[in-house]
Amino acid sequence: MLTKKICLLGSFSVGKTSLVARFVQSVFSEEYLTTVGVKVDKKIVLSGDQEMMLMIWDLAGDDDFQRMNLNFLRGSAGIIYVADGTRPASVDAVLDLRDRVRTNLGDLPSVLALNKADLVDAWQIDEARLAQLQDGGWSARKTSAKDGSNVEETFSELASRMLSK
Amino acid sequence: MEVPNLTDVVQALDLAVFRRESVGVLRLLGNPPAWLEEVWPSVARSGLMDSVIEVSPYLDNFLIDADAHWKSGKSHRARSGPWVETAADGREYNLEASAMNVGGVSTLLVEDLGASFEQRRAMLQTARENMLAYEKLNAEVQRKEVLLHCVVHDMCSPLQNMMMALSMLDSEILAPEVRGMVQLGLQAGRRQESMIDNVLHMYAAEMRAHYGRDNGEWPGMDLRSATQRTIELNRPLFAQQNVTLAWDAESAGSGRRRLPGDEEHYERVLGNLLGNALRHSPTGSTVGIRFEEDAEWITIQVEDEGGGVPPHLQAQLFQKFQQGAIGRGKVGLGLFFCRIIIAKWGGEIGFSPRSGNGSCFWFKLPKLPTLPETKKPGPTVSKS
Ligand SMILES: Nc1nc2c(ncn2[C@@H]2O[C@H](COP(=O)(O)OP(=O)(O)OP(=O)(O)O)[C@@H](O)[C@H]2O)c(=O)[nH]1
Ligand SMILES: [Mg+2]
Repeated sequence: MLTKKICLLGSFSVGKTSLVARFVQSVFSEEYLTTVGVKVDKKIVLSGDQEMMLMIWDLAGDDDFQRMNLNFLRGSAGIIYVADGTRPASVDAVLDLRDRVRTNLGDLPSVLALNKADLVDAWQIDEARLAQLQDGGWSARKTSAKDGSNVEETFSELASRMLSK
Repeated sequence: MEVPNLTDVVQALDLAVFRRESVGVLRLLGNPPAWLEEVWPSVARSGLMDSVIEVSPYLDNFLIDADAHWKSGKSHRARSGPWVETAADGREYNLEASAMNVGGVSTLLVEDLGASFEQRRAMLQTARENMLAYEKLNAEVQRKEVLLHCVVHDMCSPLQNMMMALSMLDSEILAPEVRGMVQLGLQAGRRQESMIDNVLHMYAAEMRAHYGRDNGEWPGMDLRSATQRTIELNRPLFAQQNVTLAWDAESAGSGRRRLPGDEEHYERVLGNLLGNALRHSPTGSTVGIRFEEDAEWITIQVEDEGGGVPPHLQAQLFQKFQQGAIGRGKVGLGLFFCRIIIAKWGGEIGFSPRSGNGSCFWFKLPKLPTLPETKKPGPTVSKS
């Protein structure tokens, strides 16, 4: 079977682990348990009529306490960037991350999840900003690991982008 | 003296020790630790790990670094960093591998980090939770401040209209008691202006440049040294992102120029434009500062080699809360701030796309008429 490695990248506490848990196990927990190091999950997806095994690398959040180790990205076929829609700084962090990934690995198929879309009151990314991001070349979606919206879509968008590359 | 058996030591440490046989093939040395039987039962049973990618994609990735380390013959440990493996029963194990050269043997240790890992995680967790709380508080403060500016700003314009109307009334022929009332109104208006001024001063000194009153006597500016200072301040940031900052000092002229404005705010405006340019600059590119001058104006240009600004955003660039094309702004007040400063100085600020790629942000300042030589030295300018 076709196997593809993908990585989730983003600032801490944006919901990387939660998105994987929702996608792979269909579960969600309110509790925040920060990831140290790396966890790899697997899931088989169907893209068009192509079966594909995704090796999903959930990396520790990137911040001053813990820098992302670029070696982990080796062999990646695609990246899911994750930002927290209630924390605009986490969107800036994703832009920086993408630059770092580009300089080291070149252009990889990627998508952007603006997560925690269920937190409507605290939401900080207006439609204009979303449009800006899309204009800037991002395939961006509002997602929620909590209610599950757009989670499948984000992973399958990446899968089809990896296939058509 | 009794010497412990090394195999027992290894076992007591809960380590799994492997020897590299060939590319991607590892042989277990000694007895498997208990955790290995939970995490990788087949490896524990056969003593062999021959398709590492199946067993552990993470370890497989680390073997590339480990191979380089073994080849190098270096004696220290190369560590993989921690990762998580899930056993068949769903329990998670935090492991870390290290590659070592031991007496010519390419050796791989894998250890269960156990409780020490939990401690490390808890520390990181606390640090991050604090960061989150801090971020939240900061966002709240910032939101309030921006709100305050907007409210005060909105309060300012009707007041200005009222003051203008009252001043006009005041210049008419009025019955004394009416004039008294008009002047009372003017006085109250001035008091309110100064209250607004104080509020703004308290919360953000920079906004005062717009709302505060000035007596029109500009000290003049030494553009070259003010520019130099701004550049020096920004240079480390540029160096960090490997963006070159280029400028032709000669074109700035020399000495104190007779211009409206003050160096402190000039530096903030230029700093804002430089910061903006840097955020949009790809690594290895150049940001240039250029001065142009004609009889009436001095134009300062900041040019970058970034992606430019999409046409539909250009018109709103200098409005409140705008963030450029790919939205790398902090709070979108920077360019708005520049605009109000420059407008206050009777200048103009704008954007023009560059042919090829990149953006040019520019602002121009009106040159003030030269004073007659006979006047006392020192930069005083009468309001024109
Ligand atoms: N309301 C809501 N909360 C979410 C969502 N996704 C994650 N969270 C919460 O946000 C917190 C952080 O989620 P994680 O998945 O641990 O975030 P992470 O990006 O893996 O964090 P690090 O491992 O520290 O980098 C947890 O308390 C989650 O419950 C979401 O879509 N909606
Ligand atoms: Mg996580």
